[in-house]
This record gives sequence, C-alpha cells and structure tokens, in this order.
Amino acid sequence: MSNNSKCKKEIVYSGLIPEAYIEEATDALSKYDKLEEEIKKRNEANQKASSFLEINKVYFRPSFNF
Amino acid sequence: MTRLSKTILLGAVVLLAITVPFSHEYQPKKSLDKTNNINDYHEIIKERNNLTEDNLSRFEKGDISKEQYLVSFRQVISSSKLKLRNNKKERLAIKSNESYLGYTSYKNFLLGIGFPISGFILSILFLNIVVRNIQNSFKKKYYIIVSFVFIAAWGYWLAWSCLDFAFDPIRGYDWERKYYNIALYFLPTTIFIASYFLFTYFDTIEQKFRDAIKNMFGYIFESSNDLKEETIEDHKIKRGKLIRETLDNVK
Repeated sequence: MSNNSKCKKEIVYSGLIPEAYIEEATDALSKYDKLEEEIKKRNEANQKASSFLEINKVYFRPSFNF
Repeated sequence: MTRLSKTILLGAVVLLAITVPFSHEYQPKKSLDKTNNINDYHEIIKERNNLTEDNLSRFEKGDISKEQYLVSFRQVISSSKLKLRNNKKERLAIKSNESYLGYTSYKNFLLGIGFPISGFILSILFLNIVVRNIQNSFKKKYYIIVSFVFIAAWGYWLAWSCLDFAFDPIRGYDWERKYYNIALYFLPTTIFIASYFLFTYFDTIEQKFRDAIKNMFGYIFESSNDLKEETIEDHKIKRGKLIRETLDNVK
C-alpha cells in the first residue's frame, strides 16, 4: 500500500476531518510523514558517522609522534 | 482516561472474565479436616470388623462360650456405634464450618459463581461495543435488544447463584421468597439500564470532542485560501504535523 493511500485510510477511519477536505488533508499528512522519514534517516546517518569518528579518535589514535 | 490505562483496564476485565470460571480448579478438593475425618471413619469400621472376626474365631475354637461371645459382640457393636456417631457429629461440624454463602465449600462457591460472572462481564462488554461502535440506528436497536437478552440471562444466573444458595437451613430466608424472585428479575434489568445510560453518556462526551476537533480542522482547511503564496507549503507541513499528532492521540 502506498504512503498516500495509507494516510487516506487513516484519515477516513478516524472520522476527524470533514469529508470535503479529505484529499487536502491526505496530501498534507503524506508530505509531513515523508519529511519526518527523511529527517529521521538523516539523523540516523549523522549519528552513525559521528559514532564512527568517536571510535576512530579513541581506538585508532596514532601512538607515535614525530 | 488515557489510551494505555483504557487498554490495561479492558485487558484486566477480559482476563478476569476468562480466568474466573477456572478459579475453582486451584482450590483443594477436600480439606485436611475432612480427609482426617474420612480416614477416622474407615479406621472405626476396620477396627469393628477385626474385633468381630477375632471374637468369632475365638468362639469357633472353643476359647469362649456362646454367652461370652454375645457379650463381647454387643460391646464391640455399641462401642463402634458411639465412635461412628461422634465421627458423624465431627463431619457435620466440619461441613458447617466449610460452607461458604450457602455453598458446601469455597471451591463450590467459586464453581457456582464463576461462569455467571464471566458471562455477565462479557455481555456488558458486548453492550459497550454495540453502543460505541454501531452507527446504523436500526442495527444498533437490534443489537441492544440482543445484548439485553444476554445481560438478563447471565444477570439472572448471577443473582440466582448468589441469592438462592445463600439460604441458611437453620436461619431460613432473610426475606420472603417472593422478594428473592423479584430481585432475580429486577437486578439484571436495573444493571442493563444503568450500563446502557453509562456507556451512552461516555460515548456522548467523546462524540462531542470529536465533533469539536472536526469543526476545528474544517476551519483550518477552509481558511487556507487566505494564506500568502510563499507560506502555503510551510502551512501544509504544519497541518500535516497537526493531523499526525491528532491521529496518534485520538483514536
């Protein structure tokens, strides 16, 4: 099921949005969900990158000095 | 009431309805006193039979005369009769001590009220589901009548298992018999009417909140025509966030 139809189903089932605005609400909700997903993915990627750097800093620090 | 506490409460009620009919299984079949009393009874009978056999064999061997045998036989019989009488007295006392609300034991009480309680809880849950979830008015009326039949039947059984067995043979009934019969019909009907209005009342409050949220969303989408061109996309995301939060919290 695509994200759009999933959102529409949620909205129709809740009965909280007037029928005239269901399409508009579905559009807004799917856009927000998509944005949220992107932000979440970006944060996860950042976290992974920062933890990799931390590990490198602690365990692979060069032990020799010139 | 939050969704979590609602779920916990509903889960607890359903768990109670499922476990109550089997709760009697965890009670011992016979108490220790009752088992001892039965063992004593068998001991008395065994002792009487042994003494009688012993007397008879002594008489057959010619160790005792006919008169001596008869005297000894009568002694054995009267002594065992006395012991059996005391044993019976003890058994009745134990029975009286172990009786619970008119049932012969706590185990039987649990067995007697377990199924009616379970059926009664489930029929009230059924009424709750009907009142809150069925929107079609004809269907709703039909299912409300069905749930009334369930509540009346299980309520009658529950009232019957509590009231009818509470009869004490020594004290007699607390009220006249006809009042018990009235209570058997009156209690389930009252509980049905009370629970119907209770569920409808809570449903009405929830419905009012839902209508208010719907009106607010209607206003938000209606006023989107007045937005400036450059802020439309921002507002769309904000509306999406609002809808997501509302859907996650109100279901």
